[in-house]
Amino acid sequence: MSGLLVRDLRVTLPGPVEAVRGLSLAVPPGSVVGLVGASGCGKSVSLLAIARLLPKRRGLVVSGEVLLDGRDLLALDEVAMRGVRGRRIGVVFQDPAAALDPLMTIGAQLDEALAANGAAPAGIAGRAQALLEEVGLQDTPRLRAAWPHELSGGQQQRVVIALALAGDPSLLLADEPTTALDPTVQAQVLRLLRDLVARRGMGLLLVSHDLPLVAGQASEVLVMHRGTVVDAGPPRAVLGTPRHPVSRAMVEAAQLARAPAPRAAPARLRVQALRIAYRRGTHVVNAVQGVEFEIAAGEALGLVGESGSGKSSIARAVAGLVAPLSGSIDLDGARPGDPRAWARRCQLVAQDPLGALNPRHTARRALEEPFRIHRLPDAEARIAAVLAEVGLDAALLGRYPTQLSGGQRQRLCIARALLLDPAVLVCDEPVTALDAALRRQVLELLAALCAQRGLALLMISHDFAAVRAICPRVVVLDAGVVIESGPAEEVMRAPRHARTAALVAALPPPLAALGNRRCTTHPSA
Amino acid sequence: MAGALSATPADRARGLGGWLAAWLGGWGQLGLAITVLAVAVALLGPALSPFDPLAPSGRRLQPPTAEHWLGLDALGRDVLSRLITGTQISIAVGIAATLLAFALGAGIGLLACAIGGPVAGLFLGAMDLLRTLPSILLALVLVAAIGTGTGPVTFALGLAFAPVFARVARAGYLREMGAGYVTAARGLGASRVRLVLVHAAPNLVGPLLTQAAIILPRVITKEAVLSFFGVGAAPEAPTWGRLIAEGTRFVERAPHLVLAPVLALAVVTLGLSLLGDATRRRLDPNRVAG
Amino acid sequence: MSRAGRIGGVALRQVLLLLGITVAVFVLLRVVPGDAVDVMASEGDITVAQEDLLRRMLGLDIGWPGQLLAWGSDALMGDLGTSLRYGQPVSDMVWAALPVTLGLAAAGLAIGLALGVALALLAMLRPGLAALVDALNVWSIVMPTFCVGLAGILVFSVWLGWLPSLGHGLVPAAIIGLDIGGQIAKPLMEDLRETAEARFVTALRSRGVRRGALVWRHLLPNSLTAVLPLAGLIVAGLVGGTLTMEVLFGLPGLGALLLDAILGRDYPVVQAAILVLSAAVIAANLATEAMQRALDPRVR
Repeated sequence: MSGLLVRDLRVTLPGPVEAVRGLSLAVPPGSVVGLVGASGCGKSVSLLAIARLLPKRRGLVVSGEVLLDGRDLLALDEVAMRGVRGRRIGVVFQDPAAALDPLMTIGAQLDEALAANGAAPAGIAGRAQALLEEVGLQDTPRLRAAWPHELSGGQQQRVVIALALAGDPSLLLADEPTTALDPTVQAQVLRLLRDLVARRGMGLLLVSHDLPLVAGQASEVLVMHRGTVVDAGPPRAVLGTPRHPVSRAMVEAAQLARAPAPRAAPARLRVQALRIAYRRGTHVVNAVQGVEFEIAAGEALGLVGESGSGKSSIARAVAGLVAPLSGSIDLDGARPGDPRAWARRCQLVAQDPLGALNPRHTARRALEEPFRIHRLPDAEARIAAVLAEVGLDAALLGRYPTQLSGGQRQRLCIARALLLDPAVLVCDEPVTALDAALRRQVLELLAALCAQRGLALLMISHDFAAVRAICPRVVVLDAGVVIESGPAEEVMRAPRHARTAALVAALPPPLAALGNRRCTTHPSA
Repeated sequence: MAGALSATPADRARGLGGWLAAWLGGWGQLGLAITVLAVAVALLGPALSPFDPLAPSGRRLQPPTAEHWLGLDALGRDVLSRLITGTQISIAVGIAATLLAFALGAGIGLLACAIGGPVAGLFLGAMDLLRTLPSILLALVLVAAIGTGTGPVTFALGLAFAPVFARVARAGYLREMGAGYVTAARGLGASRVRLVLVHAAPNLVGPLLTQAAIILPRVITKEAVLSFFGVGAAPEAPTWGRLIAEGTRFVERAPHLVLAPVLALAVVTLGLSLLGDATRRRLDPNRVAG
Repeated sequence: MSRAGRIGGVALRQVLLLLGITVAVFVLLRVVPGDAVDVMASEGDITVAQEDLLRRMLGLDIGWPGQLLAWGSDALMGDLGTSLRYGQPVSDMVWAALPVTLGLAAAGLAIGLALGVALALLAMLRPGLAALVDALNVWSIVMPTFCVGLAGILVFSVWLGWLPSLGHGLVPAAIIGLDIGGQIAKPLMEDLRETAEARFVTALRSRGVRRGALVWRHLLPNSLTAVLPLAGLIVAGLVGGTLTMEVLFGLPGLGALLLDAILGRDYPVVQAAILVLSAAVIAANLATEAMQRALDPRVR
């Protein structure tokens, strides 16, 4: 048969670790198959094993069959395999910035890929132009002379796709192709991949941790857990009636709650005409200009924008870590100025919980820090109370940050912030680094804290879905300026600004809608 | 890093010695043994010397015998006794100069970092540039200016190696003050003094001590080179470099005169370097605690 | 800031360093008691009257600011003064010594680079050779070139009888090369191995790029940019090693010249030798900086 047929693929990594334990799948030409699972489930290893790209080490064992158009790739020698890679199989990688040689121009890398796949020297320029146009890039001398770091993430991923297509492969393997990208760019890259599959009649194996994202693209979804497939079928079936606890948990985790409608309440935190600028060498870069918002006690406000929109600068200014150039931040008449006093009113939970914890200090020592700084009594009792509040086991107190899981570290950072009893809690991308299940738990925790403690919560994120889960109102930021604000549901239903619309459109479709939708990428296309 | 310094219960059961042995690894243990031996010889010094290192005690250029283990030099002085005195001077000058470099470089470097401002920036920039010059050249310049003798040479070597410490201190300071946990402590309301003392400084101790361990054997070697050149510690004192210089004149008739001090220098620098390298591996800031 | 501006800034700082060293050395040499005439007096019978005359003739009777001005204006014209001990123009002495030093340093650097890069590449392709790289690395960490040089003299001149070993340039060059090779090989090998597993290398393999092209066009340039920041230390080690080897093996280079001048308080020669050596180090640092910029577009 034509296309990719994998039978009983088993991979043992040095260790030994049984990373893949009997994977079977088929990717017919022109179809999209999704392989979904949490990190470490063996999905990426499977993809690399199919392309025979796993680093050769003593102890690496790959068995089973990987048939591409009837030929078993596992039986080929390295020279024959080189003829297959590029010409029959193309691979698209997770982080496009890391998938390009940083020391070589885009043009040189394209030329090299074309030459490696047997293009005649005379035809290379024309083929390169056609490829760049196919992935939606303008073939200009400037692009060809550009270095990878000069391109945006979306452009880089388009170049990586163009390179993968250089040998006209019949099968494309994509490993988390959009994970490292901004949400609007994610949507564009997914659309490009879908179009390419339809136009070229290629097979696409899409590997991701994101079930809704894959379900929106694939005609068949395989859910992987600990090296084996635990659930498989059309997206509709997997989402509608998940057969395995793992796929059920994934479906549940993807369904985030919706915050209640906003209610009128007197504002506690008032931010007015905020302007933040940084000095870069000799000139000044404006990060934030004229931003205004208010938050009431017990209310969560979402601040949404893509990377570079100035969100984190606002978080740092509200937390009193940077002094704004002008404008005011006002909490019940108090302003950030005296760091000690402000710390007891407003706390920041930083984006990277591991980085925010001193590696030399145990969890207990981290939680004692607020008491030592402010010379507060009753450390023991109050730590115990806060631990219960954030759902962290007291048995973990003796551990160092690296010995805690990602979710535990995040809870530890939240607990440390709460020990000072702040009126305002600022959370910078609190769930970005977490997988779907943890994300849901942490969001629920934040919502509960907000309600029970009457906290004014400022949640900063690029992810509308996460923000909508706990924030009744949102403020949308672009290039340091507020472009839109209002009730979250209203903004998402009828965005008034093009950038907001792009952010909303980038969200995966709601799971309920997916169940009734026909897949647009079926072979018939 | 915290993990690297803290002993596991199993380590504790074996006692401090066992823990230290495991911490250092095989080559590090050899280094420690050599270092302890060299320091012991330096401390006991005269008590160990069988003869007067400065007075003749037999036939000139006599090869090693049962009485004179390392033979006699061109003036009939006992080479072993002179070597022991040399060990004392070399190690004393090495440690003193390393401490001076540490205090000057790390102390002034950190102070400049903490104060900030253009003058401190200029100072740190100058230190950074001086670091690119060969230390032996800097030491020669200083010796040329301030003269020879034990004190001046210690001072010159201390100054010559100070920029290395300034750089380590500065790099560490910048890294620490930019770390997420220092920002987090700032967010909790910690004062600047607390940030530096509680959060940044403990993470600087490792790199600075490591640097000192790496620098010490180099300082000792450079002192020997300066002595060999004739611009080292006290002209008549039997330092290793001077013994080597004296020996090279009779290298064909009495090779033991050169061989003994060269071996002493090589073995001690080897031991200190192995110890330093083992320390560096264990205290590498890139190591993840756990 | 513009690219040209940044490069200019780097060059300016280095030139300021050179200027600073020159002035510092000049002042240091003059403010301390004792001068060349004192040394001559201690070596032979000179009357006090003769001493004063000598000082006046050599320009040592005016204060150091005046001497610095006079020296600086002459140096700008290429005249580095006259040796106090030998009466020769300092420029001639430096010119005669320079080729010896440059030759030794260049030979040592070439041997070191060739050894280091070749070993690192081989050890990446044949993991069994990593032990050799480790051994060479330990060698260069724990064995000062001074000791190795002395051992070299003992072995080659005394026991093997390869006289005249003194003056033979190959042995010192090899000793310097071994030291530099050991310093380079280990980090280069480690970076090559790390780069070989980088995402972009897997991506290149996924496109069927050949192994030869992979190593020479992608791995080596990427790893070299990672190792290049070590160049400053290597240059310092190279110059220090060259000076030591010259004195040890009796090669008439700048190191030997400098030492002789220091011992004889021959200020103009000390001043000139340090000026030329510092300039060489600074030129090497600028060259590395330029190489880094040429290789790596991200730092331009």
